[in-house]
Amino acid sequence: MAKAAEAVIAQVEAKRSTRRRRMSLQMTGVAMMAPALFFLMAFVFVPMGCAVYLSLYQSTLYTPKPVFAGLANYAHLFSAPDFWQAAANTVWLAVGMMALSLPAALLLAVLLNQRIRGRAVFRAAIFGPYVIPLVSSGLIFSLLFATDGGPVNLALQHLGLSPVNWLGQARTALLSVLILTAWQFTGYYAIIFLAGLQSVPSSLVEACQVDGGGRWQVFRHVTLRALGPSLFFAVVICLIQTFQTFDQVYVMTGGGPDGATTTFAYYIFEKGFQAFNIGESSAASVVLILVLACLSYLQMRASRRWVVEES
Amino acid sequence: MMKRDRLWKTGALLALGLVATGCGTAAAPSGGQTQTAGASRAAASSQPVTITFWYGVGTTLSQDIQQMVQAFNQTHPGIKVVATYQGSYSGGGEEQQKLLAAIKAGDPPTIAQIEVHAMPVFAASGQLLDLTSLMQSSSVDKPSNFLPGILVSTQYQGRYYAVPFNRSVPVLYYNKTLFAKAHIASPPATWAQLAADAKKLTQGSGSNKIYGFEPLVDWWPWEYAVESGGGSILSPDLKRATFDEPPALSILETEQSLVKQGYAKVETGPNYWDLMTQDFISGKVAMDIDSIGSAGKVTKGVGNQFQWGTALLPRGKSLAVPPGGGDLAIFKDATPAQQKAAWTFIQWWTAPKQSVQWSTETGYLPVQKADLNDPTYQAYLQKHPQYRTAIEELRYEHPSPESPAYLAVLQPVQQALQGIFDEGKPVAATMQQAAQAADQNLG
Repeated sequence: MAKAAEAVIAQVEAKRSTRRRRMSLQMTGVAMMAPALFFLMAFVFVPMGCAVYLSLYQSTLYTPKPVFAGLANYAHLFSAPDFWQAAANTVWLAVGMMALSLPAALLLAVLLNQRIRGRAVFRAAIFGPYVIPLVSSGLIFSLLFATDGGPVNLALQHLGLSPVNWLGQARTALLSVLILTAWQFTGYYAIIFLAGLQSVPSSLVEACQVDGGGRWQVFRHVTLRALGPSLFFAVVICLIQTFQTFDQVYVMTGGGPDGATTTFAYYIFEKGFQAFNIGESSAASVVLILVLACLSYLQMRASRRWVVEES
Repeated sequence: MMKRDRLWKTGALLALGLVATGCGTAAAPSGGQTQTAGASRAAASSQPVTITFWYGVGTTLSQDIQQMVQAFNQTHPGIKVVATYQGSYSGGGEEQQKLLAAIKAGDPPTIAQIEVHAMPVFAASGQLLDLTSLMQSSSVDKPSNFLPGILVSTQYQGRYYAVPFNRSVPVLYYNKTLFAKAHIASPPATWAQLAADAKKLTQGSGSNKIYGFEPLVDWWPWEYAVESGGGSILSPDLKRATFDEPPALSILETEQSLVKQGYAKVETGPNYWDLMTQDFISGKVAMDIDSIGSAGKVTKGVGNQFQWGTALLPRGKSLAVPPGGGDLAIFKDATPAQQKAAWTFIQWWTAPKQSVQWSTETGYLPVQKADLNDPTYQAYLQKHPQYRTAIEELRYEHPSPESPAYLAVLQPVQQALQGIFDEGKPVAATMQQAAQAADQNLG
């Protein structure tokens, strides 16, 4: 009897102590995350909440008593041609990046995965642009694309072509921004692909070769398949990065001419801090948050699936 | 292989580190110096009233301001003005963004330079000190002491909220040498004359072509074009954009047709303004509409290559000149002692002695009637007759709309102007679209 009771007590004690241990473990976890959480709250979640709140009011931020406007700011936004122009510009940039930057990155990654002389130098070199602040590279490209005496136009003139007003006309301004963005980020995507390439199982490559597969077939059936997760990751990151395009536009074109290079993020800045229309600017921010959240969700869902498939 | 790889990375990191620290040390001294200088002065006198002054003009202008502030601090032991350059004060510039943040945080400076078109938005916020009674009882800054026209931008709903600081107007620049070659005796006084002159002045082709005229693709001269054409920017109740009505478009139409016929050149892209001034300096255009603030640059750039001058902007139905530049305002948040000190500083700055110094150093307009009788300023005018035009234009100064949403009106306008001049879009339809966008912000 006594023994049984002791056993029960011991069991309870043990349970309690494991619970205590678990509790203290949880507390440690919370404590360790606290600094990060605090800053996330202060600089991400609270401002996000403020943006939602501000998007429901009509104000210049200076207005002493903002007027509640309901969803009017959103209605204005969706009926404004320049908002749709900004959205279209952003999508155009995203498509351009997918068509230009990602294939180039893949090519670079495959090349740099070969045993070539000076491989480390090349690998470092292609990552170089990504390390440069966008504002600096934006300024450099502004000089490169300058109408009078810019190296790009000088080169064109050498070839007997007439100079182009790259940043000053709607047809070429967004293209110029795209070229810079591709230059800036291609190295980054190449590194992602390079990492992916190194995890391609050599047994599969050999098996394919034994079956008589040539280089192209190995690439198509083995390498590209194995690269799936990296490719998908790069596509989503590329989308998110393009949707945040701001610095290069700010430096190179100021969103002009005639709104031709105004991107989603630049539109928010322009409405909020140049026109002081905080309501509409916040509404646009909320829309952007939603778009980015959807993209991130897609990426998380998909990456979970990829990981499961792989293991 | 591995070793070399690591070496590379270390090298790259080192290089980056050097760049980072290089920037750090380069930036540090300016801040550090002002702090120590401030500290020693504070220790010397017994508790002077410290006021902060935010301004938004850089490089040599910033040096001019710092020197004058230093002179003030030396002659006024009870007051210490700490002046800081905060990035550009112009439409949507960094200084405006920082002011926005500072106001929201409840910590604005004591004095700030405010761009004339942003005055309604700041005055409507209720954050600026009403200067009306201070000005009326001041011996220096009495409204009647100022040059007629220069106060248009300092008022909001009939009250004064600022005092003129660095003011300018757009004027017509013309190349006298080219005019003489084309046998044109005087600069055009009307748009019909300007169009005719532009045709006569245009010559050559290809990269050697000289154009008769160059419009500035900017909303500032656009204000002049709308109002001088007989139109208005907003309805009298400020609730509706009216700049798409026919009289408001007449001057723009003339300018665009000159461009389309090849008699006028247009500069586009982010550096449009600078490029236009350069075109005039290099003799590629015979006339352009530029700020009087560019006169110094033009003088230096042209040298003895050709003769040039400035003239009143050509008339449409009338002549209405928009205000330009910035004014000084005091924030209400300041303590009474700070407000008093700030007012002392502003009166000192706008008194003829200092305002003449500021004007002759920078090329901004004089602000007081007494400035014009000052021997220093008269000597300056003798040497730089171009400024006479700008002073004369002040009489035609016309206030910009007093709407707190005005900056949100100018943004679609700027875009529309780029469409009209850079892309050759039709004037009326493009401005109608801009007016619709503006209406949404006026409501």
